[in-house]
Amino acid sequence: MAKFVLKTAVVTVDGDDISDHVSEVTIETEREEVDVTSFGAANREILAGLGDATITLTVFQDFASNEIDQNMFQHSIENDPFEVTVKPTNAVVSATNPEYSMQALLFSYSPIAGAVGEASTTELVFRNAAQAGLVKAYT
Amino acid sequence: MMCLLGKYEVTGPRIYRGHHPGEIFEARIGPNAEARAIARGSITLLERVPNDLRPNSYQLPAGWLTTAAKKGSGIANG
Repeated sequence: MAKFVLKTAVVTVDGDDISDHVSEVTIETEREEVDVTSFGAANREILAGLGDATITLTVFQDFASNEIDQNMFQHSIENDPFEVTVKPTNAVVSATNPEYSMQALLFSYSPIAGAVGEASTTELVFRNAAQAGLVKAYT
Repeated sequence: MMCLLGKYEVTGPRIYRGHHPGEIFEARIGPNAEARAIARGSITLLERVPNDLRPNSYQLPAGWLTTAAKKGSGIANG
């Protein structure tokens, strides 16, 4: 796959494809940097610590039945991890169109966040909630 | 987590796990995810699909177990 423009990214939350309400998506995975430098060292020695992952979406708010607000509010008050997946295009998952997935929890939720005259959007920050962390699938 | 195989219909307005509204599909969905999807109206469970792999309905390739055992792959003595 060459350089490309994000146009048909697919985002699912708990199985439901909500791509038509998503305007931005960011996937982040990281590991803590643990400094194990000891006396006498000439350089810092950094080891990889615990991993973490976050998927952040900007979505257009929708208060209709089975839409953004109903489902995200429910996720935000429950403690039951659910799957969030993201792939770059709506093509079949492949080596050049990998799907990233994560078992997640939604710890905060802003049903309304905006100013007069703006589209009603809200940011959803899904945090990793399982030992598998962020998983990348090619098939 | 035990996932039972089921036949489902997408009854909500959105694509569910790659299946379009109105589509019928078979899948193993975790019990909690299944309950949530049914509760919010995304899918309807049409029926449970029995497991096709019944006890004694299959056999391992000839010599497979012996070969594996010789390599010490997890068969305890006694």
